[in-house]
Amino acid sequence: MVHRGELERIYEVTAPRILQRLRSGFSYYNKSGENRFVRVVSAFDREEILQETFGRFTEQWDKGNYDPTRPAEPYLMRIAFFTTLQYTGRQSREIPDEDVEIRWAEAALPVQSAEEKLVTEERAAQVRAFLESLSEEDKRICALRFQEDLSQAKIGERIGMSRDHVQRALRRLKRRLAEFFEDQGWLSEP
Amino acid sequence: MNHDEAQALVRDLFVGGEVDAAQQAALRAHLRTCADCRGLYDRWAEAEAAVGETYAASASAQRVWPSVAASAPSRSRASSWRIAGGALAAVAAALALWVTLPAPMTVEHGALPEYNVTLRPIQQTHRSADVASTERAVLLRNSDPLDLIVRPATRFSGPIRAEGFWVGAGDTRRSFALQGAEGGSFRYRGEADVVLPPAGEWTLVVYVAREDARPSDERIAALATGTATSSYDTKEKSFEAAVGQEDVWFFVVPVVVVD
Repeated sequence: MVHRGELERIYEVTAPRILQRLRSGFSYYNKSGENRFVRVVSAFDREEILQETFGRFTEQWDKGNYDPTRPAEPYLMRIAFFTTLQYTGRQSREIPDEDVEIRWAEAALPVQSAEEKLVTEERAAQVRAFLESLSEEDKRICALRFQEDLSQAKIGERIGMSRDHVQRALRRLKRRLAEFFEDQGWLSEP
Repeated sequence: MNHDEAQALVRDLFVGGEVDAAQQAALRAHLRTCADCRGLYDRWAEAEAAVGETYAASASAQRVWPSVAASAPSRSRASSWRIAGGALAAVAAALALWVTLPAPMTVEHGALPEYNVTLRPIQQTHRSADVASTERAVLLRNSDPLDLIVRPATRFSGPIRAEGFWVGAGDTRRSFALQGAEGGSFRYRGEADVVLPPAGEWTLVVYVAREDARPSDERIAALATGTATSSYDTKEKSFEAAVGQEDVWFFVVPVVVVD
């Protein structure tokens, strides 16, 4: 039987890692020994795969096929792997209906083209310039939230402010960021 | 949900506005069928990643959690996923997955997604001298079982149908029905001597259409005698290209059936 609190804890830890792995891509070997590489470019698609991955995971757990005393992440990554192949239409094309050996080898191929890398670096520089224009307190909040990925409560502890204060500040900062994205044309169709 | 509503909700989601679980579910259903709004969603996500990749991954996971939490308790009763056995062995996954595509959480009758076709086994393609006269033709042997899969690029649920035709000389036409599966996929398979037409040159026409957009017989005949719409990708082993619009997708492929 799925324990809701335990599921939430597992999700909190593993879901971002699964999303990052889908974003950066992973390679595997099919039965013929051919190396294949999969990267899910669309954020929406990654979220769809994540949702289905956890749907399957809870189903297996509910059936007693997942032992909650064992680490969940490798189990979930394997589900995510097959879900991705299915979602991207590779399941029937590349994976034979029998013994498949999967070897994780993310570093085997470059995850970004030179052009993508350039865009990423340019954007990062533009974001840094934007953040530099903020007040010292806003800069600190942004660093703790967007770089260190801390919760609002922990940010409050670090800067000596209430959680409500941090929440209001983050809402305001996110609105400013949205305006910045729009000004840069990042939200417009290419 | 229309585009304006969806795009306003996307903005609210990323800016931290109030978006409840029901609105999120409706938005996700819309995004599954609307490429424009999905594109905007992806651009927001990429912009967010420029601020911090780890943060973006956490924020993305948080957006999905309401859907995971909502489906978890009743998943075993409502789910269409059926992974055979206890282990996630590749054999079970590979055998079970294609026919058990998950049902979308919400049915939305939007435009059809793009479709592609897998046809197995293909003995040879137009590169073979055997079929040099029929450019792009694929060679099927009537001693092998046939497996034709029509699969949407993204899951789709709605009132749709798929039908296939072998069109031969003089507009000889044999129709066949494709079996539907959840998620908008269709399949046609069996022993070739049952499902394939007699040896000779044929044009395979398959369409997927919304129930209210069945193509006319004249349209099918015109397609069968026109230019092929799908070419065989030898690397991917499927037909990626097709012609289509919001209501109907077509695949038109010259086929040579041999004994």
